[in-house]
Amino acid sequence: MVGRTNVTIGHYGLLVAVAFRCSWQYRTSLVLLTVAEVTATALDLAAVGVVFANVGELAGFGLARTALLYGTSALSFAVAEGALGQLERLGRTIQDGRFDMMLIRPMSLLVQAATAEFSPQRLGRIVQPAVVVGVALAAVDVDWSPLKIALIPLTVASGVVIASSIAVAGAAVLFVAPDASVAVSAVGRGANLASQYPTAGTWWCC
Amino acid sequence: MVLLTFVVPVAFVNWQPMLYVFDVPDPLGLPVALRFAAPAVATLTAVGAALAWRGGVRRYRSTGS
Repeated sequence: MVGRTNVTIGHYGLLVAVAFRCSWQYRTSLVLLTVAEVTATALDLAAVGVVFANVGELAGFGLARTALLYGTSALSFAVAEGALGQLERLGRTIQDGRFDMMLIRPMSLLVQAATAEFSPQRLGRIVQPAVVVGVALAAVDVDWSPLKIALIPLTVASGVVIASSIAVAGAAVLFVAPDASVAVSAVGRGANLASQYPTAGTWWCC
Repeated sequence: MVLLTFVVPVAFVNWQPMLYVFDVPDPLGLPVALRFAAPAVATLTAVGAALAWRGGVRRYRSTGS
């Protein structure tokens, strides 16, 4: 079991390295696309800023705290998306009949689905939330204890695992319903956006 | 919020741990132990996703071309 895990990780690393080497052939294109991804994520942050330009605090959370909430969530989901790629494309692959080719290969299916058309520019989505987390950590007023300081990277790491699990479980639905690609990506995106803002409300709704 | 905490456990990505960091009482009144449950929830969801993936692959029926 451990040996197979090593092999799987080895395959994943190899395919990701190949994707990076391929993209590096067209460096300007890669740089421009990465800059575009960073700029696109800046729009999410602009949305938070617009909300706070009009409202002093959101459910009792000030700008720094909301920025920290947004940053940790966006960072976790960005790392998960960058690592797994667009698993929703599996629906299209199944409909085209190309999935059988994946089954024949002696390689983990999840690795193949995650590295099919791996786009290194998606890793640019990690930059902006990481910066936001750094800035928000400095700006937020919290009396820090060692436990709280240790909790932050632990939160981000377990957030990456949770976000990846949501993506994989959503993609698993595509095996029985290949047309549901849009619904699956909507669930993933909705989970991403829902955790970016503080929530308040009664337990039976929202 | 119940949906986000127990059905699709997104609330453990940042909400519950941040409640501890900010020293804010949970608006829902959930126990304090949940603040630190993020790694446990992560493991559970990973196992659940692995089971879902395997189940999906087993149920795959080729279009047959």
